[in-house]
Amino acid sequence: MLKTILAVDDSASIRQMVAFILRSSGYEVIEAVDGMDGLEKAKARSFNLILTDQNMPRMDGLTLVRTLRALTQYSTTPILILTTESSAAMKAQGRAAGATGWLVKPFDPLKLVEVVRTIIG
Amino acid sequence: MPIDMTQFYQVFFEETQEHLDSMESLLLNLDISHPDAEQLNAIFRAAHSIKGSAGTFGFTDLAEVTHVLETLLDRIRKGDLPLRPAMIDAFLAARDVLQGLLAARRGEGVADPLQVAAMCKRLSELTVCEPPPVPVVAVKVEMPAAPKESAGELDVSFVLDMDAGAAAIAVDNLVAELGRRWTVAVSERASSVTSPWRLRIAAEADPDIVRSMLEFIARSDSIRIGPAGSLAFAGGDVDGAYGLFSNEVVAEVAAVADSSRIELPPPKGAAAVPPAPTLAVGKDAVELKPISGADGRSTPRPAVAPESSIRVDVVKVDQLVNLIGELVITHSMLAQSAATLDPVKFERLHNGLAQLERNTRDIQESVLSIRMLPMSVVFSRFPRVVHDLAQKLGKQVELKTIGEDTELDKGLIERISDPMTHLVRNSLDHGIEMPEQRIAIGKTPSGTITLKAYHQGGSVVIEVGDDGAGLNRPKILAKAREKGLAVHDEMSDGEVWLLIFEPGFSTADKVTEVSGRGVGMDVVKRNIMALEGRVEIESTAGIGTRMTVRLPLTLAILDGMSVAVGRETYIIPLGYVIESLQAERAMIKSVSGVARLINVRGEYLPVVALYEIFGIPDAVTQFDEGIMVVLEADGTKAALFIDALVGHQQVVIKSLESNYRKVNGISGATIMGDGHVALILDVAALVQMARMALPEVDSSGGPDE
Repeated sequence: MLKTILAVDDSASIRQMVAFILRSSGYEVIEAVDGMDGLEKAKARSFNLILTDQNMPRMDGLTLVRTLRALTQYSTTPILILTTESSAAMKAQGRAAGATGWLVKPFDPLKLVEVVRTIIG
Repeated sequence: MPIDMTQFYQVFFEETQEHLDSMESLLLNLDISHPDAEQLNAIFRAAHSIKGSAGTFGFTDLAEVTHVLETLLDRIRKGDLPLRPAMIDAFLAARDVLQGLLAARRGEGVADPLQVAAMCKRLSELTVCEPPPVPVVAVKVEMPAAPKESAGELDVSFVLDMDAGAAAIAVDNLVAELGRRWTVAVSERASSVTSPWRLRIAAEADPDIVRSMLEFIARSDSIRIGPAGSLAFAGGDVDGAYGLFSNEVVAEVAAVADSSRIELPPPKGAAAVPPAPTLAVGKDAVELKPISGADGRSTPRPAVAPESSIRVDVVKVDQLVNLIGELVITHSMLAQSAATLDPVKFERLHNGLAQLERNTRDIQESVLSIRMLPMSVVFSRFPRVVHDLAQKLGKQVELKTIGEDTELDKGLIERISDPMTHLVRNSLDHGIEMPEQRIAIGKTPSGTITLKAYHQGGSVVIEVGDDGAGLNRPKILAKAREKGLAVHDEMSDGEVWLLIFEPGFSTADKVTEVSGRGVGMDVVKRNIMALEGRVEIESTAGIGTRMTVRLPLTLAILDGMSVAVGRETYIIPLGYVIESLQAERAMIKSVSGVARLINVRGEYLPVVALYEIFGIPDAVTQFDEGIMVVLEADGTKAALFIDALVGHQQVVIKSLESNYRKVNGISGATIMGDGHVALILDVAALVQMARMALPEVDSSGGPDE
């Protein structure tokens, strides 16, 4: 069965690109337009990996991570934060929220695939 | 795997445009003295989003400008820098530069690197030219940007290639070995066999030597060496572009989940795990908390709903409109055939046809509504136009918009935008007075321009109103005389106001860059006429002026008057019709045997007899037995002679040119309710013919039947 990834980003272009790359790499990808949408979609089914943008309307990435971590279903699922900010402070926040890792935007599409492969195979 | 990124460009262009638009309207609505935190955040987020996507797609110029913009906005929203009017102007200018860059990326125009550099410079200067207030400095000192990164030190992380028993000794040996050359410390011990160790080594350490020493005990693919801080919690890349927070988080969570008590790990508990950077984490978290709080988590935001619309090519919609036209015709044909059948015997057929007719009409209405866009599409550009112009002229103006939801055909929306801009500029430039003038006559220093749109009958009415000085009647009359126009003092106000639509007419005392060159109002009128629309002016001295534009709902449907000539039916676009009257023999005068004139209340108008132009048999030929319709196009009037008026109706326009060929005097065709084809008259051409006093048929002009 295909491994399923939830891609959360309010930027349609980035989201579609991420989804396209991962789909071409053999993953099933569900897209969500912001944290709130991501949370609803995450609750509706299960995912092997969640990729989320940080800065989004309605619900930001960190909040999404914290909220997901509080759910039994997502207590251990790998969650990566995609952020334009690579500062240590940002990473510390991501870590504190319970994220598994981060990826700095702009990123190399191939690197994304590499990271995803490392995490969920 | 090569990836064609260009396939995402269009989406990027569209979303960036949306961000730029929302940025602009937010900036214009911002209260400079008490900026709303939520609005500042929204502006920041727009810049931030553009930066992120632009960077990803390699649009470095866009990313560069948004980066500087974002940095500045970030400091403002954090209260680090006070917001100043100069900033709003710079942000708007930056938005325009971004707009230009976006257009260039779209292939419209060329990006100017100098402009980009100048903009970045202007923005960065805003951060320094004024010292931030004292308390802010205090905050700044308190908050180090990042966990202390010892200058120049190196971080090393690796996973041991051995079992746990041997690990401690191996690392001790390594540290001792490294310690002989450089200062070294274990900054993090591995929590399990597969998790990484971390060391921090003095700056002068040679990464190559460190690596070669590590390779004896560590898995070579796990070795990471980078500047201190870059690997703070990373098992990731040296460049820090991505990474995983050390496995502990996952491992611990997993451990809890494994233990049979299904107890949720409190998400914040994870924060306690990292040993070294914990202090920094706590501090930053506290510092940044209000910001992420204001980031939209707590406040419901109506604007961003999940996408509920789709983009469709207009061509497809138009095709649908045409197909439905065909459907109407097919129905008419069926209905005609069925009419000969016994209504009792074929009751179900008749009922079915009636049902089909209703359904068809509903579909037609629905499809036409797809082409409709709200007026807000047009109105949304005016806050900026008014802001910029008011500033340039030193006037104070408040813009009010009413009826933004009023819908109008897409084709009209696109073409009404420019004429409206002209009207608004005109109101601002000529209507609204300077603040001191306004105060002197007891008005508020700030003038108001009101844009209003609403439906009235089958048309859309758009009003541009101002509470300015009103039009100056003596001045307009004087100007008209100067221009050699036929005017007299008894002209009604309405007639006088219409003079400003004459070519080359301007009463501005001096030619301004804005609207005073006297080109414009005549172009406005012509553009509106081209949309089958009309423009009217009401004005009261000292109170204000209101320009009213009336447009048909859609260009696909025409508001027409159907008239009969012989056995034919013709449609006259209603916008051109002034009046219709029954002529008396005495009103008609012949000139040199060919051209005829009709005297309508003292005004002599050329007569065009439609039956002559199109060679229609069995038509009424005596002028006192038919009807004269007075038409006006391009400022010229003429009387059209027809048999009779049939009625007023809305018709769907079909192109005659694309289905047959261009016929002089005919602008299109339509299919009437009974399935017959009726031709739509090209009033401008007919009036032109009348003026040329050549009431003869264009050789190719007659219908074939």
